[in-house]
Amino acid sequence: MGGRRGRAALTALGIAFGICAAVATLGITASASQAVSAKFDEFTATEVKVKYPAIDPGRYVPRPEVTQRQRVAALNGVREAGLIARADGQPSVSNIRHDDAPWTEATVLAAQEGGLTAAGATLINGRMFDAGHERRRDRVALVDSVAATRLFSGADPGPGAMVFVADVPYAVLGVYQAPPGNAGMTGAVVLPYWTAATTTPSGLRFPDSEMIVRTQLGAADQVAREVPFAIAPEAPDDLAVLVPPDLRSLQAGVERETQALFLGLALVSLVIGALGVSNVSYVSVLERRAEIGLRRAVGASRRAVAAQFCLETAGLGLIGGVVGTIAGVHVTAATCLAKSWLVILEPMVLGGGPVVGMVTGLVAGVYPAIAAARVQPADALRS
Amino acid sequence: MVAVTKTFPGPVAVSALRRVDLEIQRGEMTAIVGPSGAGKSTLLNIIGLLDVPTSGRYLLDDTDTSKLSERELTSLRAVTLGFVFQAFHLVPHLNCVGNVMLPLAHQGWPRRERTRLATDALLQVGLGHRLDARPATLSGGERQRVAVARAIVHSPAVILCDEPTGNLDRENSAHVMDLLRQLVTPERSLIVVTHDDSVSTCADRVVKVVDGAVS
Repeated sequence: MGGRRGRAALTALGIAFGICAAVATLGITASASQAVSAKFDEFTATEVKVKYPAIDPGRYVPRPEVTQRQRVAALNGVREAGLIARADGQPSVSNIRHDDAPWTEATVLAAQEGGLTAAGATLINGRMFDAGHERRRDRVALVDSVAATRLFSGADPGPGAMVFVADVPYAVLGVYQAPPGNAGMTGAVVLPYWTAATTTPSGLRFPDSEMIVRTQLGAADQVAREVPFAIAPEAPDDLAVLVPPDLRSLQAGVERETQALFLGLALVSLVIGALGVSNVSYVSVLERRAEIGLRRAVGASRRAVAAQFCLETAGLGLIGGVVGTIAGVHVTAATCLAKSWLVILEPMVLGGGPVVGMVTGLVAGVYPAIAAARVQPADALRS
Repeated sequence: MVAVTKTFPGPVAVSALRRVDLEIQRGEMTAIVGPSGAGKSTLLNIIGLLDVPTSGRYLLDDTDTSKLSERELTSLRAVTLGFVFQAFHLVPHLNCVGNVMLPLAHQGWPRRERTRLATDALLQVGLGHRLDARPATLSGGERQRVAVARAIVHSPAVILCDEPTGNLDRENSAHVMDLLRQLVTPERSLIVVTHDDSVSTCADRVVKVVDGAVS
């Protein structure tokens, strides 16, 4: 009797492994997905960039114009927009005009007010450009906080501070903080966009401009579809629109792929467990031939005998499913504890584990049940 | 039975029974004797509806069994017949009450009634003190008495015994045969296949089977 119980326990263990793998897979992938979701980069997901094509002497191509900003800003879902251009090379930048004054090479940008905001720059002190500066073509500049520290020994240059870009003076309007990770704006000096649209006394050239658009969360895809028509309705296909990857669907896709992989492994484990149950149950049929013959002799139908064996394997499967579900929950919890993730377990997974185990056991018992039903009582009782 | 024949197919067909004519009355104790391989067990299996004749007719209580489906034969067997085997054939993981209840389980009796009838049957065979015992803890004589209780729990009209004393010593054999003899009533027949002369001498009638034929 102890041997039979031990064999039944080992049989149920096969199904328990499969269920444990399935429950742990679903729990860990859900928990990991939630952890990724917590790190979702809202900033990157709301930025759309539009690049203009190179000048083509043979045909018309859209070029950056200051008026395009208003049309883009008017689109639904747009919070801010503006042109930004980068000067060729690394012009000299200094805080005084003097042949022997120390100077440094820095990135020089030209930006519309909306462009700087759309790019994520935040004002630390002073003020931003406005339409008046653009209209009057004022020689003003904004300085990144790193550049300000380098040029003025602090983030506050003080009133009347000047910055010389390629020996041309610009009044410092304010200091901004570049968005984290944006190397192009860190340490840069930003001039109003009119310097890119015209020939400057310094001879700076701004060959390439971009329209930077900051959207509301979730609107990036829609804005990306509409912005080419707002900028250049006559040739929208000539514009290259850079859309942030849809991290939510990427995350869902990764979760799906990971789940599919590990659920596939769990299914293999479950099939192996089911084969074990089927094999052991078949051996049990052979060992219990006399009992089967007796039951048939005293009135059990073939169907009743088959049902008995199916119920036995279903019961083993149910036990395996319960044990596997409990083990799967523990594996999920341990993994999440190690990774400092929140434990996410769907109620359906908790309830489904025992059910799947029971069904697996039931299916595994079909062949042995058929074999049991075919036992001839006269032969079985003689043996 | 009228001209019952049983042939087992194979490379060489074996005629276990050849045109057997036999009539057993209600209330009789009949012993079926004969040498090994004569066809005694085959005859008992056909009487017990555990096997079907190759040809001929077998009427049980005026019911022509050749016209019944397998399901109908199973139902008839469950209600009308009780079995006692040489090897006892007790289910090892059931206690005595559980073993004796088996014939009732497939007839739709409620569990409480099944337990009551099984207990009564065990009391009748003198095992009231061993209701919860498992077969492994019983002696050979006790096991066969449990088997007898199982054979009578559903009040069958016919009890079939295949070498009931084959695995018992002389003392236990005598006890079991006394018990079986007491089960014969005007409403109940007992048919015993045996090699044991002491058993056949108890019977009202002896049927000899030799080479598949009955005399």
